[in-house]
Amino acid sequence: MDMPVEKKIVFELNGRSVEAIEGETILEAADRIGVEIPRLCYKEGIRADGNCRACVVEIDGERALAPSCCRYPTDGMKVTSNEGKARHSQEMVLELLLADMPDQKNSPYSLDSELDFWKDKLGVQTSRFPQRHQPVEDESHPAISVHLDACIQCTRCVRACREEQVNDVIGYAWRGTHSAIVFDLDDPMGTSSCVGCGECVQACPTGALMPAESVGLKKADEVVPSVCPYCGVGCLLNYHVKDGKLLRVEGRQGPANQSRLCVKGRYGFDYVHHPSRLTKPLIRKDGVPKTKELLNPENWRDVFREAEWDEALDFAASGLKKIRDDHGQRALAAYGCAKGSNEEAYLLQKLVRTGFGSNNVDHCTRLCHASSVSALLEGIGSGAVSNPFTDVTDSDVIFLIGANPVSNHPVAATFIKNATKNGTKLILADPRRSELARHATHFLQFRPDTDVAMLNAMMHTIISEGLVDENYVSRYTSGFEELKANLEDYPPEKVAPICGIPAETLKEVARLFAGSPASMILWGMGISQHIHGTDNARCLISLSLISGQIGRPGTGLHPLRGQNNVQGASDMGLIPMVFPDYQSVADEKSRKWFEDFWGTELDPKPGLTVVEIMQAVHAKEIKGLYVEGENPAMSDPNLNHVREALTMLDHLVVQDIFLTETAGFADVILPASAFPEKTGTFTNSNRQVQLGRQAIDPPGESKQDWWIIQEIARRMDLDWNYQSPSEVFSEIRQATPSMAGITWERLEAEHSLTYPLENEGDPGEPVIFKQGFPTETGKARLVPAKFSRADELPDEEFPLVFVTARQLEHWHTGSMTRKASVLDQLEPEPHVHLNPGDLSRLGIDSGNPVTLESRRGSLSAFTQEDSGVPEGSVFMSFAYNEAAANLITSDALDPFGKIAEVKYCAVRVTPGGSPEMRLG
Amino acid sequence: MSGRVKKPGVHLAPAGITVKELIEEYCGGMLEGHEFYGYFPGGASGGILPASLGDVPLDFDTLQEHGCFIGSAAVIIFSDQDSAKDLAINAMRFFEHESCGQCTPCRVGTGKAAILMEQPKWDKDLLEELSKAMEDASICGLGQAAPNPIRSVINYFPQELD
Ligand code: SF4
Ligand code: SF4
Ligand code: SF4
Ligand code: FES
Repeated sequence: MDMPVEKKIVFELNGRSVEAIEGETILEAADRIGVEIPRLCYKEGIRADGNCRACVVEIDGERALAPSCCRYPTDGMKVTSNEGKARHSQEMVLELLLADMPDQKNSPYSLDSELDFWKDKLGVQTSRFPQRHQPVEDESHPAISVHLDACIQCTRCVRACREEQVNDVIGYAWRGTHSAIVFDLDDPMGTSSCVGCGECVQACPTGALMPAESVGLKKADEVVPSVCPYCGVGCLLNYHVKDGKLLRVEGRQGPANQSRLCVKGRYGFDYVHHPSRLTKPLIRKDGVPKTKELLNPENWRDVFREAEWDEALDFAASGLKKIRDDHGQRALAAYGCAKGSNEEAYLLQKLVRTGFGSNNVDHCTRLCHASSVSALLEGIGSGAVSNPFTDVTDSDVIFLIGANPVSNHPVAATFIKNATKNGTKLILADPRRSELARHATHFLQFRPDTDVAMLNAMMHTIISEGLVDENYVSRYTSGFEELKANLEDYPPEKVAPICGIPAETLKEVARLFAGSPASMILWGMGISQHIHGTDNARCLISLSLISGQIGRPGTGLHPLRGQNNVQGASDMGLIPMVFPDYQSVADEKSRKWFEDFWGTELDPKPGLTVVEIMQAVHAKEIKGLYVEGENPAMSDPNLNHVREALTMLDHLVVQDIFLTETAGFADVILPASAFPEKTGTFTNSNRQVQLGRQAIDPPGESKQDWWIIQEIARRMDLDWNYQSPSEVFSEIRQATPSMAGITWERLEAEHSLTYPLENEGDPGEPVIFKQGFPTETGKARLVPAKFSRADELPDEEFPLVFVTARQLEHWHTGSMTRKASVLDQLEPEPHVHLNPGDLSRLGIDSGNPVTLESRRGSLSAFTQEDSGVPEGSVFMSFAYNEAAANLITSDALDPFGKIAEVKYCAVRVTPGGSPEMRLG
Repeated sequence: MSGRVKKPGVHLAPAGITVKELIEEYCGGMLEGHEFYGYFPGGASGGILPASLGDVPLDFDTLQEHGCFIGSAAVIIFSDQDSAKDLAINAMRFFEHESCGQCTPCRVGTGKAAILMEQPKWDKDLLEELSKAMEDASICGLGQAAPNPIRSVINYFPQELD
């Protein structure tokens, strides 16, 4: 195929002949050849608006000057930027704006004000114009100070908020000299609908919008490029470090974020400096019994004593070893962590497989997308996404189901919103109406738990109306006849009363999805966290396959991965059924390979999963547990049962940065390092392997996680001698064919590489399954799914449905975010979200407390009226130890993915009660 | 036609007519006790001309050489009892109010110009520097034409500035 020839445009700039690339503005062409033209309202990555006029140039033959930031050169055009009319107006614009700066001098709110930069460049030192009447400051937001006395009305913040992030908070109100930046209807920023993403601050050229407490005025000693520690979006960022502490965070250009961040990534970093960080190993005092009560970290001395590392490591390892020797290899288990690096995940699973001697290792993927992964492995032979979520900007139709990315994958949501603004149709299916519904062309608020019925009805339509991509199906799939036979039972008319969506709507979205040139499916835990989670995902896979909507840009399957490294941890084999790269432990060939590679015999029996491990503790089969980074005493379903299990363990080793709810049950606690304190690779939802770099040192005597794992391994007679994460990474490459071509050096240079990348120098493949699938036949398998109900349906005694959900400001069990001062200020209390109708039926005013009870536990929290929540349901996040949502949830499991049904159980709500005391 | 004439209002007149003919033939002459002093040939932004240029034909392209334009042909007549400077300030305040606020030369320029024009003594050089930038660099006609009243006063009514 011929490469399209890039057209060049030849024009003249300041007497010099310049070649511009087609599509490039005069300003961009000038930048490329090193001709400086002042600019203020222009910022790379944001639509050029041409409003400040600092960049004007003279074009021969034109009466008025032209803004070079949005003017495209044409052949033969003669342009002047550095003298005469053009320079005069540039200087005058700067002088006019300088007039309205406080003191008519450099911005007092920014060390690198762009106005200051250009006025100095052009030698505009003072302004001869009188100053405007200055607006007052607004300090109502915990993270952002608003000083509009330094505002030059460039509207970069407006475009950042409305066009990049599409939060639609900032407006440009009024007219003429009264024109002003406003939040919502001129509300204080802190009470507006602002979600604190800080994109406006990052966009502001003068510091009129600045990080609170003037941190923008402190000069960093060092700027360290790294990655966000929170979600699977994998935003790249820069840590600004001063005196060994994190000063602030800014977004950095990355394939998944294009310099954007959300409130967690940008403002949720100071947990690392929280006074309650663990800094010394702790050993449980002799004779202190383990009870189901959570330990208040402030009272740690009642239970633990400080120890030196050697003692603590000996104690941790000998306890594990003793259990292994006395009770057998399968009496031990480990919980790894999807927040840790690939290197840590790899080492931990290797420790369990070669040191503990079983496959009893799992992590929170089990609570997240295990069912999606099992359906994907079964159907298309690979558990990873087919396309990056940023591909949605190439989609014609996005089908988003069971996900609330605005809260849980905020930066991914911005690309979805960008796409809808560009005309992409969004079909949003979710029992809860989230913020994205505003951007959806079709919003299907179906009944919780009826996913399979609804999706089958869509497929029924596709088949009955002849919309199947026959060619694709015959070439790349098997099992179509069985699927078709199963779908006969699901005509939309029959399904409509089950799922609550009219038959006509089901047909319409089915036609839209199947008929568009490129449709992409994204889903979240609304799909996966059910006992029929695997069935839910099977339907999505089939939907995509029979429509031929996969294997091209803008079309495919994307389960939005939760944790920053849940993809990587799974890739590393931190799951009980597979070695690195999803090579089955039960498969003779794979096992032999790893036995050779690691030089030891391996257990052929798949290990236990997260929930099964706790059940095995109750059954007295598991006696020792090593928890690295996870917090099962908060994160796992049916907490009363879990916490009881934690008290039953003979030996519990917890490695963490805080004395978590789980750590309170430990026999020994090993203080570890937080994200900005370590170097390692992390794999986001897009299969992008990204390098996190250490910015600060771990506090006190806390240590690198990889070092701690290695020390335990050594004490369990493993001959390990890794010197650095990069050395571990080299081993990972050998064990993980799909990442074999990724070198540490290239990661250091390029920051982010997409696998599959099998040979050094390969570009990496963002879009996969272009020609079939990595299965034995090369074909995908269509697996029929039958509609079934949740494990526990509401009844007279427990009449409402309880659903765990996410909120923007808090991550998972809150162990990090509730110790991040800004996030904690924004959302300090546990809330349960209820429909206004249910609230009035219960006679409760929004904000008043309620008590929730299920068959397994109870809690009290404050109500929040939420008309997006369907009647009959209660939504709650599980970040709060004073009202831990998982006390309520059920640990019924999906039979394939072994994921618990935390999206559905029966609950009773009564007025009154008060949350427990907050710990930590 | 508006201002100090006997019969203001909308009149249909041939293109190329002069303002003096308009006052006399269409508007019944100046108001009692008022002497024709100057006029805005085309709304607030078309500039201001003195009575001495009352014989210039009013049409497209006939006013350029005098730094003005016919624009909307909303002609405003003022008299010896009025001040061209005050009228220019009034026009500038009007532009400041009408500016959409988008671009710097117009948004900030109109406001600063109005304040400078309210000074007892005009800083003519600075006003001209500003006028140039507003004319050359504003996005739309409002800002581009907004300096016209300033320049007209400087050119045609210098006596009011001393
Ligand atoms: S922080 Fe984000 S949501 Fe809030 S005003 Fe700024 S850009 Fe908009
Ligand atoms: S607040 Fe900052 S970004 Fe927004 S218009 Fe003012 S100067 Fe520009
Ligand atoms: S979207 Fe996710 S990765 Fe990006 S800043 Fe927010 S939490 Fe971090
Ligand atoms: S940078 Fe071009 S108009 Fe502002």
